[in-house]
Amino acid sequence: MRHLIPFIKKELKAYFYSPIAYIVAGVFLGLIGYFFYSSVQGFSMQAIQLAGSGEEISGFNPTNIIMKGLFRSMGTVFILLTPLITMRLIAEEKRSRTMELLMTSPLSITTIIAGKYIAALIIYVIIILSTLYIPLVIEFYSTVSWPHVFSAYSGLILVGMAMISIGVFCSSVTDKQVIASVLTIGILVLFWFVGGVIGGHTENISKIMRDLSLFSHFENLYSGLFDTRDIVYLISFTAVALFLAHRSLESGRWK
Amino acid sequence: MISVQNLTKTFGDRVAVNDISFTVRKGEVLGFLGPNGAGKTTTMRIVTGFLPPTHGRVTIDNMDILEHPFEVKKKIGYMPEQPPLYYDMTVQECLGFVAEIHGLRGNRIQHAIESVSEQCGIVDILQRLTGNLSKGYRQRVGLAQALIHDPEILILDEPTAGLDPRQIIDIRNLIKDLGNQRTVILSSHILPEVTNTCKRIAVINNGNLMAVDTIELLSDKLSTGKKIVLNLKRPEKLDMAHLSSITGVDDITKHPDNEFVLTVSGGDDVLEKISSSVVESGAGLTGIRVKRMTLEDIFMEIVTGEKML
Repeated sequence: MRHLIPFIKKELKAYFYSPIAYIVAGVFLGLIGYFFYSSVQGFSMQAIQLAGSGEEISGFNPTNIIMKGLFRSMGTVFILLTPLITMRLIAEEKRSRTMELLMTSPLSITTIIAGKYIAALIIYVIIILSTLYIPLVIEFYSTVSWPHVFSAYSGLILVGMAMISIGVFCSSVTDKQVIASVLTIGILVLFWFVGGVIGGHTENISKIMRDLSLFSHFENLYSGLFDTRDIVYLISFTAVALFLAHRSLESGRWK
Repeated sequence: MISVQNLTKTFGDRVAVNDISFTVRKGEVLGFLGPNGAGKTTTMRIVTGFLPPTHGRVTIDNMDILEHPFEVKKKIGYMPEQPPLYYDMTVQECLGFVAEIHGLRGNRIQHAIESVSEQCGIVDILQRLTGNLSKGYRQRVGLAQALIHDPEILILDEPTAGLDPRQIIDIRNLIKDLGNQRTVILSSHILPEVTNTCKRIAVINNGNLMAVDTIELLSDKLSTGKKIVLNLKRPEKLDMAHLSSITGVDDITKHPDNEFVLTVSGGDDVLEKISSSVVESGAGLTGIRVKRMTLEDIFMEIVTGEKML
């Protein structure tokens, strides 16, 4: 395990050498910036209309109206961006035969998986936290419910942990980056929309599907509901995916 | 030092390595010789711990590779056939990373990089991206990576594949130097490579170990069957029946240009009997010579004739 830090360092370097980190960050921040702009515009229009009517509506505040939608968009956009961060991780080591170097060094498979996972997560967290300018800007002109923001960012980080773990698993089953990324998108889309758009025949099945969905657990957190059940689910989901990635690398040796 | 016992590896139905056993003593250079696809790389991958064996075991200093993987891997420097390089890193970074995952820290990393880059002749290219290097330089960087943690055992898979003749000589000399202080296993499908650098050779074909011995002993064992070449002016007069009845003559084959090749076992008296028989038959003996087997012949015989030693 003491080899973990140099391993993470190497993975992080790779993100910045091949400009994947910059491209993902650029696309993500550009999109979210645009969404922010248009939702502020929508919010001002509504505010003007409501001011004219003289009614008072509970829940009409910038955190609820502007930020909730933005948090949801951040999660959804990352369904498409996660594979870009993770597809390279293990598939590329296999393709370029550097896996042979890692596996004949005194590194355990756990260290290899953990190092790659943590490096990808660091990139994700940096990108997500750079959207903190949004609540800060709103705070400057209005007021923000910081506990809600904290809950939402915890949700984003937790759901990101789950998404990246799926990406690492998909990268471990193939030596082709494209296959890894398509698999990742497939699994993430399934777990995102199951229980929502993808429903069940009966109420009970729908409920089970909702419980399995990443989105429904993320929804509570970004709506400001900080519930340990959601946190436990997302962490367990991550653990299972990483365990599967470990198994897949280990069993690859025995074939 | 290295002991391989009854090693078998199957991939599905295909048997890549079939029940091979050998040992390598400390400070020895063992050459692994065999045609392409013979099972050399698979054996090496098992010895380095990259692949687990289907049956059998590998021990290094009496430690089983599967039971003590980390201790064993620290002792081994492995260079696969295709050097494992990160193409978006510089040579310096690659070596630094490999040093770090082998547990080197601080100043020792820089010292290790300096000493191996000098040994492998890559001091001038430390700042270049490995992706832009020529095949020869990549091979050297691969060797430097294998050497960086100063391992007791070096395992080199076709270290000179794809190099130009001058580079081949450089790498061979380097391996000879390294062999003075370390235990080395190297594989090759080129014979002179092995005879130049190794004291002992192991010949492998179709996953079977055909022979393990020093080069001298191997040629002695095989050259009991030496060949005698006769050139005749009137071959039709040759008394084949009499010739083949001489004890010690195992086989007679006719080659073009009135050349006959006799495979014989035994000493000079057989040769004397053969020559007098040929002269008496009046076949017009114009030439007689004894052909000793070169290592090339031995290798060909083992590999094509599947002769077990």
